[in-house]
Amino acid sequence: MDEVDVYARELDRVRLRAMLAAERLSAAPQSDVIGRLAAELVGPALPRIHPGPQPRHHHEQSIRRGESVQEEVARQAHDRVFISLVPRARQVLRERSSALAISPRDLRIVEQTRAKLVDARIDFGDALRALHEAVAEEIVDGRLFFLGHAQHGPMIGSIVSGVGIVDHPAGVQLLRAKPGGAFTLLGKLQR
Amino acid sequence: MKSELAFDPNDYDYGAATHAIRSILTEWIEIDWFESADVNASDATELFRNYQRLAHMHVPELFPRDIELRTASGDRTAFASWCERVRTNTSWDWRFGALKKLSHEHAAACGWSIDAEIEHLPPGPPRPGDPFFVIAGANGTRIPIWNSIFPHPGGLDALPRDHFGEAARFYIRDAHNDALECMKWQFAESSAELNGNPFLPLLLCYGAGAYPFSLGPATAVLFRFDV
Repeated sequence: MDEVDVYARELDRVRLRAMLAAERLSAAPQSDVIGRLAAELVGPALPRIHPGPQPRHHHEQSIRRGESVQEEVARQAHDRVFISLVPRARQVLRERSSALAISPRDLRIVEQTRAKLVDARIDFGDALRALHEAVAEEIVDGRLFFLGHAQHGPMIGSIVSGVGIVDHPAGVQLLRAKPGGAFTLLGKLQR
Repeated sequence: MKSELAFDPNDYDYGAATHAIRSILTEWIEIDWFESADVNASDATELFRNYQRLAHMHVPELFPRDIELRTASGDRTAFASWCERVRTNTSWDWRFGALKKLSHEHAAACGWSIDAEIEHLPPGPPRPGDPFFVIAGANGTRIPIWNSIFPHPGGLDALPRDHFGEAARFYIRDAHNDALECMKWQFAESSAELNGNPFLPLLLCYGAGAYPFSLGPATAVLFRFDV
């Protein structure tokens, strides 16, 4: 994977965060949304694209050299939030939650959790802490529940949807608890 | 369709709320879910109005004192249709938009937090009747985890994955949340006195065979299955 691919992947990840934030803040007054949206994008440092490789993909054409991913997305989001970002966010949420077969609310929590897990190597404790924070940020009185025992430890998540995480030698996994105590694997928590 | 406890509540001490928690557990396991019942409409209406009145005392902006309360009856198909109606209502989310805020604001007003509750608990798996436990997170953090002590009805998993089966699972999940909020309310009150707990009348509604569907802040329907 070359630098442009890495950049494109990071851009997609941060862009989704921007859209998720815009969707969540869509009911707030406009003046609040701009500031809070920018605040949402302040996070761990993401790579800057260096002069050198030319963008190969159409969605990279607007990237300004030397601009961080967050700066780029924030600039775009500020310009477009009330025109296209909120409807687009809802569409992306529908598409991605449909693909994962989880609700938009759960998807927002999963994405927020992933956004907090920036280190390459995380353990179950890291994932649990990030999930705990994301649930508290996304849901008033949000809580984590013990959903059952899996092979490598407890499954922790939402008692409403049954979506949760569990430890695994291959990395923390995202699952859904099914009736009768079985689980459906939804994929790795960390991308 | 009833639930069965996997533990004896008398073996557990829930502090000042012990008696109340045991009573809530008893109410929960006595609910006979989704069965035809000779519901006294007047009693059921009074229970729901009592819930509304108690909730109004804490968060009046979300729970108006006066509401339009209707009754409806029908078969499993009709019940599933009501579930579908509230699930697809994007303008009002009773559980996440109102009841969770009620619980949250009450806990805050009481100065209760689960972090304080788990402060002296050592990390480790819960016993069946423990309401919460601790998992050690990263960097020495302690993550509070809730343990549902309210079992689902035994027959729920065996229901077919048809319209009614999905509706029943949806409804139980939400009602289950009410039981947890009912328990949390008592922990926050640190009291065995249940009279002020708005979630208890909701559980009593289920027990009476009247299934509430909230259609908006001031509109609700009490559904019962045809006899």
